[in-house]
Amino acid sequence: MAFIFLSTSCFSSPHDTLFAFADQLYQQKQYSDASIAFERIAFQSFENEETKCIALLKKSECLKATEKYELINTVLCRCNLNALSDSLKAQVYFERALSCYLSKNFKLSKELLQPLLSLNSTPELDKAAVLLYSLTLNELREWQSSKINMLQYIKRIPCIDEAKKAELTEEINAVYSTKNIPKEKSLKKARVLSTLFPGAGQTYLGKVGRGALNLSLVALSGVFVYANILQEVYLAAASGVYLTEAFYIGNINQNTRICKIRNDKKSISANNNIRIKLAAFNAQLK
Amino acid sequence: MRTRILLSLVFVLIASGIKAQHTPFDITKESDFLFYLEGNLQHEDFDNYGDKLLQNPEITAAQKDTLNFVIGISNFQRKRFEQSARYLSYVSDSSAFFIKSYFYKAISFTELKDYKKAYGVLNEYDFLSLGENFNGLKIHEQTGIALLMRDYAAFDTLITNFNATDTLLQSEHALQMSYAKKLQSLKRRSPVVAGGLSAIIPGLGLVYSGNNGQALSSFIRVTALGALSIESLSKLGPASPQFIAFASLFSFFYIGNIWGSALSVQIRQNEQTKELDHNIMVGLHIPVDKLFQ
Repeated sequence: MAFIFLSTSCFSSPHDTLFAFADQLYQQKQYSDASIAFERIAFQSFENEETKCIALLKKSECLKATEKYELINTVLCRCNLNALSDSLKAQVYFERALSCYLSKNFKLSKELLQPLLSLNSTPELDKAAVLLYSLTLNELREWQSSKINMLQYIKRIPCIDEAKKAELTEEINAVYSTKNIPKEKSLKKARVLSTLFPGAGQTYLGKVGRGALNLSLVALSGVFVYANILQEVYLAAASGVYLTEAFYIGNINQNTRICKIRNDKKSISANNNIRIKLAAFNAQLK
Repeated sequence: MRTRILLSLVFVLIASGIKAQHTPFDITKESDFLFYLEGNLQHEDFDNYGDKLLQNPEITAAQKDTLNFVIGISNFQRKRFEQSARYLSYVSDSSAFFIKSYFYKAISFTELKDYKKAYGVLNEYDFLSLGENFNGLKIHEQTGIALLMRDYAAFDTLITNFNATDTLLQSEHALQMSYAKKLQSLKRRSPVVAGGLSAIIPGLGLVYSGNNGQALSSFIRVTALGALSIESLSKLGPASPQFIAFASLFSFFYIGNIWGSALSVQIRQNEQTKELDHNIMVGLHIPVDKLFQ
């Protein structure tokens, strides 16, 4: 027994020893030292792309533990994907996409997940990638694509009977039902409404008070112009025209801000809701 | 027999383990790793590992100097001037990197706006023995710092000693002299005069301080409100709400125009000196970067 133990430590490669040392630092929560140790392995294994990539993946774990998500993508960018096996390549893509998602760079996260879905990865990684892709699409407000992604995944889940698949499909349909997905208000429509009738756009966006205020400001400035013309106070009437125009244009432009705030608020709340439901769905698949 | 073989194997393993634990410290390898970290933009790892290496009891004084220099320059390039000044200060005068550290340290203090310290650092050593270019560079840096401190007497005294033959240094120095002239010729304008002028004709104070665009806009705004007030007064009377509203607005903008003109003098002056200071700072960086490239 002692011989086996000693011989394994004797004949293990220098990288194994370094990995063991770095892993130990990671387990002791000395993330900064572990990060350097993994980086040293990457430095020393410049000829072996796989070892370098594994070291960088482990380094990204240290960065994740210290919540430095933005750095993970730059670290993993150094992996030469052409020299890696499909499973390792998939892992790199996933970690990069996850770091982008966590640092709220959803567009890049989507771009990184698209090639990952076509790679031959492990079922576990495939599931994680599908869920992350759906979460990313939700953040990008592409709920329909997110739903299709989940439904396609259900079709290809191995070792599940058709009845269970039908049940899961129903569940996803319920998660992405119209009552759970916010109906986004159109900015174009709001602007057109405000152009035709001051305050109408704001009312359409759900801000009735603001709509009334805008209407009163435009109406009052119009009355001011009319009253001054009647009293032959032409300079004041001209200034009133300027004021009316300013209120009218302001009333149209205000919709941009209101619409963005309204849509963001609704989508954040909907995505929080969907995230909880997808987490429950994920737990079922385990 | 079997026990003997096992024991000898154990001995070999322990001996190799001990040998592995006492791997000699190789500064070249460590520096390569440090450069690798910096090259891959792993700045946090670079800083942590650099500090760790410096605390290693096995490194010699010369190696420490090299490390301090490398870390100092890396921080300088990342515009972390406080750290660069600190690490470069640790490079001893026996190091091959001393002269370079000396100039970069002075620039770091200048960037930190600690002009007196930067000037003092440059006064610590005499470079006459190293040739006229190094001495010229030192004087160029000192004159630049003197300008940043607005110490024109020190600038005038130092400039007479500048005798560098390097063309880049000469051209940079010529530029520095032009900045000095511009700084000295900057007219000191009075906020009181600017305010007074704007009180007479709205916006005139802004013309005086050099903000012609703002002056026109201010003139139009105040005169338009004045005209509206006069019209309302003549047609609707002094008790009419319209006249009171326009007159109040006119007064508000009129006083604002005077106050704004007075303030603009100081703002304009700061903008001009800030631009010149920036040019002087660039002029301090370029010859040092080029000479030690």
